[in-house]
Amino acid sequence: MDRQNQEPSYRDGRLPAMAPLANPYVPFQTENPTRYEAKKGLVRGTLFPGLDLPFMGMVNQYELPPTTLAELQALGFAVQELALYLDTHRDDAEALELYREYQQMYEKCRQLYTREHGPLNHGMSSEAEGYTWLDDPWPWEYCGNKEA
Amino acid sequence: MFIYDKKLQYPIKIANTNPRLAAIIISQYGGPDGELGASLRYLSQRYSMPFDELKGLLTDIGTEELGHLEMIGAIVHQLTRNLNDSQIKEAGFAPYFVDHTIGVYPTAASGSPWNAASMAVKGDPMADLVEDLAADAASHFSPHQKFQKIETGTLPVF
Repeated sequence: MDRQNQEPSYRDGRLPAMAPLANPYVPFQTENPTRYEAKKGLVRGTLFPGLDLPFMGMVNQYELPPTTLAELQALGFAVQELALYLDTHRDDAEALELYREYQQMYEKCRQLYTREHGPLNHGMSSEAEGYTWLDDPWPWEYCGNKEA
Repeated sequence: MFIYDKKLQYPIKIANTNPRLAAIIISQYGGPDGELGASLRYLSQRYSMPFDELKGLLTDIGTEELGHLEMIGAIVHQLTRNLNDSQIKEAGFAPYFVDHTIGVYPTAASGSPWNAASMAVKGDPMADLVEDLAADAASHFSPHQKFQKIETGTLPVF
């Protein structure tokens, strides 16, 4: 092979042919990435289409039930995803704005949910009669979706 | 500190019990590439991380993994509801059942209980981040996907 015509590369050095394996490939998330809306994000497992690579092409086709709990789960997931993005992109003003919007939507939805179903944790005050924390069902139980 | 929120991250509602699947999914709970190891890996590595971005990421992801752990526990629990004798014997669930009955125990499907030897915390940012990449790559091929391949006879050779 005529090496004169090739671009200079690691092949010119003393690295073995399998050298590229020593470099993990980590795609950097672009600034200002496009987003799914919250419910689609939760079902796809990421808020960011640019990171959405279904394993072996298997796409989750599940549709979230039309419940306050599912809405709360979707909004909570959007907040979480934007938090992870902001952890490495703290100067992205647009993402920060969206993060705050989702936080407000989450808080509104949480108030609606806890009014109907009791507090999510011991830090939340409740005007319900008695100690409702122990009321069934617990989240892992088959009927854990209280509205289903 | 940690505060428990009485909800799952994602709805889990499994109509049909399947102890055979539960005996495999349990690896995602307490196996070498499971959620318990993932959360402890990230939450333990963060103390020695020198950058704020990494302290934040490991804290946030490690916490989210605990939420995943709870979802896997819910899946195993719901898959093993209302079992009868023949389901336990015939479905390949007996080896798990003899030790744990319908309790959710952090173990690999192959029988080893969860072990911190399946993760690394070196206190070196590069070593720990590369360990995280390897762990994440391993966990992408989850027990459930392997199970589907066993069931459909298309399990690839590794």
